[in-house]
Amino acid sequence: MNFLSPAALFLFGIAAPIIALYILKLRRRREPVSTLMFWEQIFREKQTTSLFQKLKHLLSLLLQLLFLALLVLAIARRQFGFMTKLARQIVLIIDHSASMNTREEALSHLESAKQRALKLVDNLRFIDEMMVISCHTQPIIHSPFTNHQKSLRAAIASIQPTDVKTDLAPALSLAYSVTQTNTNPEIVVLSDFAIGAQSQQVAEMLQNPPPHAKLHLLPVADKVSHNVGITKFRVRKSLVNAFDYQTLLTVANTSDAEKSFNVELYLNDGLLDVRPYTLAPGENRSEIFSNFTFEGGKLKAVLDVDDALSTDNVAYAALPKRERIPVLLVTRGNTFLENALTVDEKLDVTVISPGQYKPGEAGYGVTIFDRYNPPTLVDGNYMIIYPPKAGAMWEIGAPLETPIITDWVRDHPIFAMSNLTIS
Amino acid sequence: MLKFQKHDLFVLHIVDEKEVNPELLGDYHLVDVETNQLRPVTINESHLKRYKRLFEKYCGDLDRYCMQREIGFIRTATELPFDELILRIFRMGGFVS
Repeated sequence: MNFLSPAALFLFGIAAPIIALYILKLRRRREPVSTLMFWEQIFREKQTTSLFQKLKHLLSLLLQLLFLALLVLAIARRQFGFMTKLARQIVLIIDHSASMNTREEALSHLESAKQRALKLVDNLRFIDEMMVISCHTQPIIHSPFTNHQKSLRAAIASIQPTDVKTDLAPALSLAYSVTQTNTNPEIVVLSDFAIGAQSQQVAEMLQNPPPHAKLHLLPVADKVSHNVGITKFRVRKSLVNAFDYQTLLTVANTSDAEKSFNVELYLNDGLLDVRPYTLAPGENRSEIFSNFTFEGGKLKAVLDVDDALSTDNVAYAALPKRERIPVLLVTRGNTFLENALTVDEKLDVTVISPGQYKPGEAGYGVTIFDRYNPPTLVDGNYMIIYPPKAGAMWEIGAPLETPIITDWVRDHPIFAMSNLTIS
Repeated sequence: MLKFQKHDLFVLHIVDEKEVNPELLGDYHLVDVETNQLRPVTINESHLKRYKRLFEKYCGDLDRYCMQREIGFIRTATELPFDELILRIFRMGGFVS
């Protein structure tokens, strides 16, 4: 015989005072009367029931003791064999990822899921237990296994909407593991199952639940929702210009109708670009934005469309600030070289004459000497163009009329724009 | 028989308030004050109503019996002092003014 609260069995001690009171009650009081004539007449009529009267006394005691026994057994929570066999242990998983914020008519998917969850709680039998888990990418246990319906309702009410993507795998793994030792486990998943094609693992877990548990999938919405959303918005280094950034924007139309709308791009809340989009049902479109300012800032993409889920109509990305390369050009005057350098927006060019040059001048990424030999060189990045023989740091030989080039370091920055292949 | 022998009879029925309206509920040993006989009883409201009906019938029968035989009859309570009772009977009979 199993009890969940065996300490309550001490309450059987209350039987002692009940029996004592019963015995004391039977000690009759003496009452003098002038005659027994009337009383004899009354009780002679009732003589046939006198046996019943005695039994009634005993029955009242037995009823009191029975009531006490039932009360104590209820408090001690007696567990019968059939209860253990028939009791269900239900793990309720409620998806509260971003897609569950999709609204259909008055309710969001999450609100619909919570309503269905409350109905499941209402239908719990007293022997059943339920655990409440919410999940987006990580599961959160809101209530351990309990049959206390008030606690379960409070746990369901505490689940809040999020803007996180859906990944049911961790929650399913948790549910599968906690039900391993249960006798009659059931796993109920309330979700819109917007898990995406990338989650092959989740699809396999849903199709192949463990043999010890029953899995119930309760979709809270049609798979086709009238939604257009930004599925990618990220900044990366430009593939064609190492000093520039590109922004990749992908927009998807998951509805079953063609959608036309504008895509607005903001930088630091200032409108940067507007592009009209028309997407067929199920169509994705990716687009690259580039040529941003050097200052960087907060990029925001907005879909100007009225659809079921507003959360995925706005996306943010951080555009890093780009630093210009400070370049010092030491020259007696070279218009072509100066123009070639200043036309490059990545370079912050300072031009000085050889007389103004001080060796070891700090703060420049590159120092270019044009037809000038510096007196000394300290650590740094230098480019020396056509150095004169007088005062040169190196021995400058005679020019090679027909140089033979067999190989060169192709990835050296100096050869970045050069091709020495003889054609 | 007393009436037949030309006695002048007068019946005085003295009742106690507890006799008229017993306030007994529960388990008792009723003791007959004359015979000391014990009677264990468990009295409830139904028994009390039955008792009152029997007592009223008994009083009614006594009244009728005395009236039919022209016997003087008076019922009084034990609370009334005996000398006052006698004086009241004499006044009713016109023996004293």
